[in-house]
Amino acid sequence: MFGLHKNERLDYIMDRMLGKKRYIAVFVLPALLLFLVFGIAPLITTGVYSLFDYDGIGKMDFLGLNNYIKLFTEDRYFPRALKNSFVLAGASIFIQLPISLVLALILAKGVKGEKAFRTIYFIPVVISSMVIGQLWMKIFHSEYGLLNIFIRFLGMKDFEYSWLSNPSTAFISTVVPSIWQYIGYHMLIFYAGIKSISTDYYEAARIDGATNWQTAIKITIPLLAPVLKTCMVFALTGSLRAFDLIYVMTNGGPNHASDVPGTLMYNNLFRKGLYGYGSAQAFFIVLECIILSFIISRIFKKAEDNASAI
Amino acid sequence: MRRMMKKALSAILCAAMVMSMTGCGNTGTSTTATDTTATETTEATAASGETNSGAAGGDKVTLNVWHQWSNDTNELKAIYEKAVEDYMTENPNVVINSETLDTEAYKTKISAEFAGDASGIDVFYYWGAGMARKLVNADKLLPLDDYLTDDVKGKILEGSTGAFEFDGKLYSVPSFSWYMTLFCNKDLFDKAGAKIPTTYEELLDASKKLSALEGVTPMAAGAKDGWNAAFIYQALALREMGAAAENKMLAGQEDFGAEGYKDAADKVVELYNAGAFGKNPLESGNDDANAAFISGTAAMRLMGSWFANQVYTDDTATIDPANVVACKIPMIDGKGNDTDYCGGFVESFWVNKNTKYPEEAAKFAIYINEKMGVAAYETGSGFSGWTTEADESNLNPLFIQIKDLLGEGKEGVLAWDTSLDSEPATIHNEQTQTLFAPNADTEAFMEEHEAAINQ
Amino acid sequence: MTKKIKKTSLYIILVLIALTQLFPLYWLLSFSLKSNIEIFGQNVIGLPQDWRWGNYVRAFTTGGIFQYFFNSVFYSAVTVAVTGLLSAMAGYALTRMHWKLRTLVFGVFTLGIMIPTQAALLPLFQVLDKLGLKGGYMGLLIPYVVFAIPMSIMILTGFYKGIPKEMEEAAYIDGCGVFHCFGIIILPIIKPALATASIFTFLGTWNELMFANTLVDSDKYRTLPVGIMSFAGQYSTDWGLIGAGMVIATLPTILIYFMLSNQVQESLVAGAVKG
Repeated sequence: MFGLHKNERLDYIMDRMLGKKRYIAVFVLPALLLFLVFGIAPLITTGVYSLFDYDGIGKMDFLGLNNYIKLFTEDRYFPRALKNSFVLAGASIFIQLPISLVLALILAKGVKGEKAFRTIYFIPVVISSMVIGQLWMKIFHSEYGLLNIFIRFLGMKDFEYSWLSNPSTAFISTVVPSIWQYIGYHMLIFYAGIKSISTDYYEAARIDGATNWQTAIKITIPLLAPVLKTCMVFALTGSLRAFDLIYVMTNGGPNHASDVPGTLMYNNLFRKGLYGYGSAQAFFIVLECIILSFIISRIFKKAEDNASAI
Repeated sequence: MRRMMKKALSAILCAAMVMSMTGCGNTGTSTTATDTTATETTEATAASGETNSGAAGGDKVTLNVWHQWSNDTNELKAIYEKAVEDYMTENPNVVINSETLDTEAYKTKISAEFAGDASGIDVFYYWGAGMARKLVNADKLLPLDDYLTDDVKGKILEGSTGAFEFDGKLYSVPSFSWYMTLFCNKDLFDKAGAKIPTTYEELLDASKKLSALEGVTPMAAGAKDGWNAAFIYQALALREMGAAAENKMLAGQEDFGAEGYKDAADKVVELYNAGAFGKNPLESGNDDANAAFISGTAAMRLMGSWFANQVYTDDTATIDPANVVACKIPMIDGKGNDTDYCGGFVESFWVNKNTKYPEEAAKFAIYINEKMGVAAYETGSGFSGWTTEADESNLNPLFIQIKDLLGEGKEGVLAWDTSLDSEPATIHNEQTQTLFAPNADTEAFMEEHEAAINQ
Repeated sequence: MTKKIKKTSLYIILVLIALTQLFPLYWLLSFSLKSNIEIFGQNVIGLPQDWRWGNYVRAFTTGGIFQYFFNSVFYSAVTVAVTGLLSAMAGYALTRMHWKLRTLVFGVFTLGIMIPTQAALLPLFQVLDKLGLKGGYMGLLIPYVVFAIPMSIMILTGFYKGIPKEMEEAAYIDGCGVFHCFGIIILPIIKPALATASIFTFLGTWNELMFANTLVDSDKYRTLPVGIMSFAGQYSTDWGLIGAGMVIATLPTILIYFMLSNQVQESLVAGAVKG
């Protein structure tokens, strides 16, 4: 009885302190206003521009959705750029994430030098894409690059490509460093996720005599679902909006072979001066990211529901 | 309740958007912009040792001038700064505040500025012909006719104003011109037993012979930079089509599509297949290619006349400048006119129509164009658009060779990316790059060009 | 016996991947100390025969790298400090304070993680330009802070949720004010999460390329990534020099990561992921 009174009093005090509009405003408004004015408002403006034929100087004619229609009917480069970004996303999800997951599983079991490995894997993540790009440009250099020197050493002359300036290898050559760079990032998130799983589950499995791989597949990975979801959303949206590395390495060339929507949009906006059309490409990336993230969340939610139903 | 929240949020978003779109046009903010630049001006003048503050009386006029000589090693930058200093001494009521950027960033900056009223710009460096046309059409430029005295008109070189005239009005005056030159390293030609080319057949033959030399690329293309690739195509197209026809096409009076344009593309491909540009021309850009020529690993370089200077002044140059021969673009048998050339007057200073001081701005624009024109000539980087006397004592022999070539020239064609609108210009540069790779498709090359240019 | 083989093979996987992660960086370091003759000649992979520290001296003295370095430090420091404070405050309001629009506002910030920044580039460019902010330090600081806030808030709210309420309750009952309580009690508690958020903010800012490339006009305000990129174009054939420039741009991030890596990994494990 008495305790309840005390709780009510406490709630009252807390509500008075933490419910005051003035305080809330002071705490949340600086970040929120900045974000709305310089983050969300420009985004919406891009959405508005995307409905116009706008050259940035004078002309601004309303087109409705024609810019978006043009993306898929007239544009020679956009479908390929889109396809490239999906290839990148596929490579992230089906190559990069599994590698990261396996590494995290091994490390989380505790091996000698666990911490050193964790730190090493993460190093490429902290390096600027500009440096990574320049470095891999050197690796792919046709004369003095590491890769071709290695190929020459093996005597496989036929595979001595000019990797980044050959239309058939340029895009793949930009995918490799993209995958390479973020292995450690996902590994660390997975690792953190695994570490936060209660050891009780493992105890039970051990008593049942499950092998390591059985435990990993039957226990760890299902319990890791939320983390897996986060990583997939990051990998997917990161790929769809890829820009930096490709911009540095090929700028979408040669002849758009390695373009992704991000680079195509950038060049349309700032080199061709197609402000309306470039904005449509930009806004398309936004919509695509939001919709696909939403779909992934749904799939995981369904999977979780099914799992708990059993 | 939820709906209310949504409404509230959308109201905020709208407000934010309106702010972002229109809040900028008011005078309050533009004044702040001017204020900050004005502070910079005082700093700049203080640094250059000027004491304009002493010149009391009369309202001070501050002109914001933008240009793209951003690199300190560029001779023209120092010359520009000296000219500005002189101008301020002669005109104590004017303060010149200069801003500069690298070329690409500069172009972006200017177009973004003119998306508004470009209140921070009075006089600016820009390219005539196609690039300026867009600004003229949007009524952003001030015609200079009213500000040209007879004295000034008399000094302008005849036939040098084509890129600055729109609808019968003169929007700028010439500064300096360039001339596309084939630079040849005679040493390497001798070694390969090749002849300095005057025709396309000789060029092809020389390329084959030169490619047999160990570690030598016959012609450094620099095709990683689109405009470098485009130069080579444009040179051959000039010989196929002739300057008159090309100029009509670039001005939009004729469609792109004549057979000659395709023949020129086929010839680039033929040269590529003959090994003229080395194994991977798309891997190196303009700077690499220049470096290859001046270090003797490339026998030819097709470049603007400005390159002559680098052959002499670059620290990394190892070739003997005396062995470099400047040539005209090789002729194609039975076609074109050997008085046609690539190059001309296109870069100069222009005046923003919205400037607060049209008179002062126009006066300065005319002054600086003449100064820079003469200076560019004196330093051997371009040819002056003015009959003003210039000091020729420092001209290097290579530049004098080019000057003689230009003397034979009658009709010039500007680089296509300055003549065309920015979208077709970019497509043109990209498309010419495709010619520098295996299995180039010249049919597709033509189609892409037609789609972009004939709009 | 089989267990041992298994363990060794797992170890081999770990080491192999560690090597692929490190080898390109070793190569960068080694060619930053070589002359072109070594890089393009016989000694492509080995340690330099002649250690050319001169490459570093040249990298620092040519092309204004020093100024770019200073600028990058400045942008990163200010962005980390401002973002940290703003998102710590906003995060507190989003998890602890009582108000109706809480979930909605949180949703808006979450959106910020998903949206590609380049989509906002053009209007942002125009707004900053018209406000007269573009081309100065503010012109880059504002977008950096704005686009660092969502991630930072995500990390912090995840952490806030794990702090027991009792600690503040005691303080409020004792009559402590909100600001006082936030400064004295909350900030010290969230330090590890703040460190994590800061390192992400720092990495994002230090390495950012697109805004820096588009929103900065003059040399004076340019950042290291853009500087090195134009440097790499200008001296494209001098790999030793470019390599030295790239090492200079990379070293601070790696050092900071080493210094904070414990904290980052711990606070990630502590539950930031759950948010």
